[in-house]
Amino acid sequence: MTTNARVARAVMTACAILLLVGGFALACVPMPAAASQYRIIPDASHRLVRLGYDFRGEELVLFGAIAPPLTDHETADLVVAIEGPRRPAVLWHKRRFAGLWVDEPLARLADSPAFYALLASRPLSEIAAASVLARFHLPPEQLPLHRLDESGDVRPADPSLVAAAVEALAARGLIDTRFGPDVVTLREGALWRANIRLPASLAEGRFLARIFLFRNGVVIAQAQITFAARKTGIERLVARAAHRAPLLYGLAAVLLSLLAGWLASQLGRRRSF
Amino acid sequence: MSLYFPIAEIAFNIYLIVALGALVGLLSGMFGVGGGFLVTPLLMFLGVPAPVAVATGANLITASSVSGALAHARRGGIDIKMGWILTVGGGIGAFVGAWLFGLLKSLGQLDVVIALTYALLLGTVGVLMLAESLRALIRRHRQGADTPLRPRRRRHVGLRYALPFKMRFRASKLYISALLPLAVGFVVGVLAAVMGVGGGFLMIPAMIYIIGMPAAVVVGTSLFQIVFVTAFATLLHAAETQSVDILLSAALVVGAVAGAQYGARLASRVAGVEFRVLLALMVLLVAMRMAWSLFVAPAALYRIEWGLP
Repeated sequence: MTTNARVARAVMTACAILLLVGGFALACVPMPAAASQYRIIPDASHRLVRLGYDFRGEELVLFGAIAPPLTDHETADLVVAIEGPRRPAVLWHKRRFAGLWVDEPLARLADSPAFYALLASRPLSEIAAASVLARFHLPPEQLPLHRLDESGDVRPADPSLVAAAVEALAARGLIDTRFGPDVVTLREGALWRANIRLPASLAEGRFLARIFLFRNGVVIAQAQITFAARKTGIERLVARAAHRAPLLYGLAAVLLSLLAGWLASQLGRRRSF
Repeated sequence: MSLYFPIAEIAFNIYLIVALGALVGLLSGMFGVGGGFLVTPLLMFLGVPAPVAVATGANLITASSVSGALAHARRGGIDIKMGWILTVGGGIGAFVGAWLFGLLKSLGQLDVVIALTYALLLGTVGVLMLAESLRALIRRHRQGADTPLRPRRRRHVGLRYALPFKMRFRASKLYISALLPLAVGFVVGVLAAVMGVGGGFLMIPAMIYIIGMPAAVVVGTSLFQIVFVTAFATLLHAAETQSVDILLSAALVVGAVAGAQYGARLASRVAGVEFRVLLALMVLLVAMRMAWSLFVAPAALYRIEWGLP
C-alpha cells in the first residue's frame, strides 16, 4: 500500500462522513421543498397606519388566498405572527428593597419589538410540536433578541431574558396572542383572514407579518407582508419639532402657556369689573 | 372624541384631559395653588410616561400661575426684588433638578423617586392642611365667624441676620441675607424639575416662617417665582429629554383657563373652610395612591423602557 492509496481511502471516508452529516442536516432543516406545492398570497386592508390626531388604536385586516386550494383543509392551520419595529430598550426587574418595590436593571436589549401579535386558528400546542414552532421563532418567547453588554458587544439573549421582555411588553398591552377559528379564519381551504388589533400606544415604523400554513404539524407554505405606522398631520409636525428643534419647541410651549395665562387674566378682569 | 398625543404616544378622550385641566384651574382659582401636585400624578395614573407627565405638568403650571401673578402685580402684592432672587435660586435648582431627573432616569429609579417624594411631601402637606382646616372649621363653629389663620411670625430667627450678603427688601420690610431666599428658591426649583410642581405648597410656608415675609406679598411673590421657574423647567425638559407634549398641555390649559375663572367666582361666594378640607383630602388621596404603588406588589415583575440611556 502506497501513501497514495492511503490518502485516497482517507478522502473517501471523509466524503462518506460528509455525505452522512449533510444528509442528516438536510433532513433537520425545515423543508421548503414541501412548501413549493402550495403558495400563500397575502394582502392587507391597508399598508399605512396613520397615527393622526384621531388615532386610538385600530384593526388591520390581513387576508389572502391559498393556491392551489387545500383539498383536506380540515387538518390545516394558519398562524400569523406580526412584529413591530425593533427598538433598543432597557429591561427592568421589580425587586423588593427595604419594603419598597424598586426597579433594578436586568439587561439592555438591542432589538426589542415595539409590538408583537400572534394569531392562530388553534392553540399553537395543537398545531405543531414546540421544536417545529421554534424553528420559525414561534411563539414570542422564541424571538431571537439580542442584549448589549457593558462593553457594547451584542450577544444573543438567553430564553429567560426573552421571556422577561415578553412579560414586560405584555404588561404594556404590546403583545396580543389570540387563538381560535374566529381569530384566523380559513374558508374552503382557499381564503384566509386575520384581524390585527393595533393598540392606541402604537410605535412608528415598519411592521412585518409572517403567515404560516401548517398541515399535520409541518409548515407547508409561508409568506410575508409588511406595513408601516407613521405619525401624520399635526402629530408628525409636533413630534418632529420636539426632536429637531427642542429649544425652539420648548420656547413655543412656554410662550403658549404665558399667552393662555395672560388671556385668562384679561377675561377674569373684564368679568370682575 | 379621542385625541392622539404625539409625545406621550397615547390616545385620550379629549374631554377627559380638558376636565382634568378644569379641575386644576378650579383649584388654582379657589386656593391660589398651581395644581401641579394633582395634574402630574393624575397624568401618570392615566398612563402618561412619568417624564412626559412631569414636563407637561410644569408647562401647565406656568399658564395657571400667570393670571394669578398678574392679579397680584396689579394690586402691588409682589416683592419684585425678593421674587427675582427666589427666581435665580429656582433657576439653579431647576437646572440641578433636570440633571438629577436625567440621572435617575438612566438609573431606572425615576418612577420610584417621583412616587416616593410625592408620597412623602404630599402626605406631610396633606396632614398639615387637614389639621389646619379642621381647626379652622372647629373655631368657626365656636365663634361663628371664619377668621383667617394668622401666621405667627417669628421675627428673630438668628440665621436670617447672621448670614452674609445682606439686602434690603422694601416691599417685605426686611433687611436679611440674600442667601436665604436663594436657598428656598433653589429647593423649590429642584422640586419643579423633578416633580413637575410649582412648589407653592412648600415655598409659601418657607417664605412666612423662614424668610419672615409679610402675608400680603407672600402669595404674589411665590406665583411670580413659579411662573419663571416652571417656564425654565419646561424649557430644560424640552431641550434635554424632549418630553414636553405641547398638545397635551394645550388641552389641559384650555380646561385650566375656564376652570380658574369659575374657581375665582366660587371662592368669593362660598365659605372656604369646607373646600380647604376637601383640598387636604384630595392631597392625601394622591399621596396614598402614590404610596400604594410603592408598597403593593406590582402586577408585572418586569418593565420595559424604550431607548438606551
